[in-house]
Amino acid sequence: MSEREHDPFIDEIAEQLRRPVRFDSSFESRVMASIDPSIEARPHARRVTPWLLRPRTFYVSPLAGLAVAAGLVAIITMSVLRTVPSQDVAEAASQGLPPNGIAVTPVGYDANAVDIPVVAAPFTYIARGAKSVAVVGNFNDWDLTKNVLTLSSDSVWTGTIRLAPGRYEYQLVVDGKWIADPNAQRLAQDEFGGTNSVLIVSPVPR
Amino acid sequence: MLNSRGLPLQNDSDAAIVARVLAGETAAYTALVTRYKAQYARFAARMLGNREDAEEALQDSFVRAYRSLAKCDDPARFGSWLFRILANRCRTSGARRGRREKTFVRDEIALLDASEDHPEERAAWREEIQRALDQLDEDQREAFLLKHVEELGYEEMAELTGVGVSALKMRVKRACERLRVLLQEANGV
Repeated sequence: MSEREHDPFIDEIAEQLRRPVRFDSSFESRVMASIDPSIEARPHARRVTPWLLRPRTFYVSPLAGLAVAAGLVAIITMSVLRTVPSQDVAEAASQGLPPNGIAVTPVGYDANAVDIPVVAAPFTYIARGAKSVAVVGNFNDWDLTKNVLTLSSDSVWTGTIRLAPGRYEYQLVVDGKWIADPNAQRLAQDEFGGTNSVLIVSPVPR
Repeated sequence: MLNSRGLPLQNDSDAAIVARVLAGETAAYTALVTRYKAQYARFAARMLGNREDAEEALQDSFVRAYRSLAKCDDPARFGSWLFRILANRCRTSGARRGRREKTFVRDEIALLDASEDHPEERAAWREEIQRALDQLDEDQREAFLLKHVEELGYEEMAELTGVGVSALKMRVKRACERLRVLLQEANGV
């Protein structure tokens, strides 16, 4: 078989094998700790159960239980309110952007494409204090360098990726940490136990 | 981490980062780990068949590369050089693993994708593919992965592996034939 010929059976196998494989986010720190003992390795996320998550049994009186429940509700409410600061929401809204995550606006066809329509997918992520935000996915071979978002204003990171209609899996990389997009259309497990965000780009009617 | 122009180090070339590391800035090596982790994680996992072995092999390869960085003749091609270290490491690890009973952990390779049609069938199909891949000779598996999964040309493969183009073509051809037989057998075709 020449290099140019394609065998559909082999292509199908290769496509399945091309699915991404990701190690947990502590991989870099473990490598760096191995080469420089002064760098402390973060614990292996998959193997270490944090102290806080270990099951415990507590005994409380009914009155104390009510007080704890009220406290928990207050804490959770405050946490949710703090997740997306209202100033950031207003800022994003003023720019026509969603408060967090991804919005796909079909804008038309790539003038240079003959058959494949291309959609400009704007990515927006609000991350206070982040130093870098990138989008990695099967549309850019999970390459950290290809779709780096830019800081358009305080805490609002934006970028546009041109995509043909189809189904894509991706993650956001915020300061080197891979995370699922909190506002993804849907989620999908990868074959090694991680979670990808899923983006469906619909065809644009001509 | 920023470079001398105040831009993220991730935008620097391999050669520039290697130069910084060799000048004593150890932390700059993180940018190289981040740059090559995803692609090489996939190769190692496909070669070795499970994530734990792959993580160990890739971590070890990055550490070996760091310790030998001064011997890297062409820092602009750090990625290729690292790949050769990883490929050798996978061969060693694979040989060791071959002496043990090969165990295949279902959820290691083919967890369900809930958004797919017939997810159970897709997961089973991926399992079969990885199982068939595991049964290939290591030379054939490596050549197949480089050609069809990493989509390298034969010249590039020859440079990476140190094996001649003709031999690589033969390995890929045999790997394809063997995979076809194994997967058709598994599916009762």
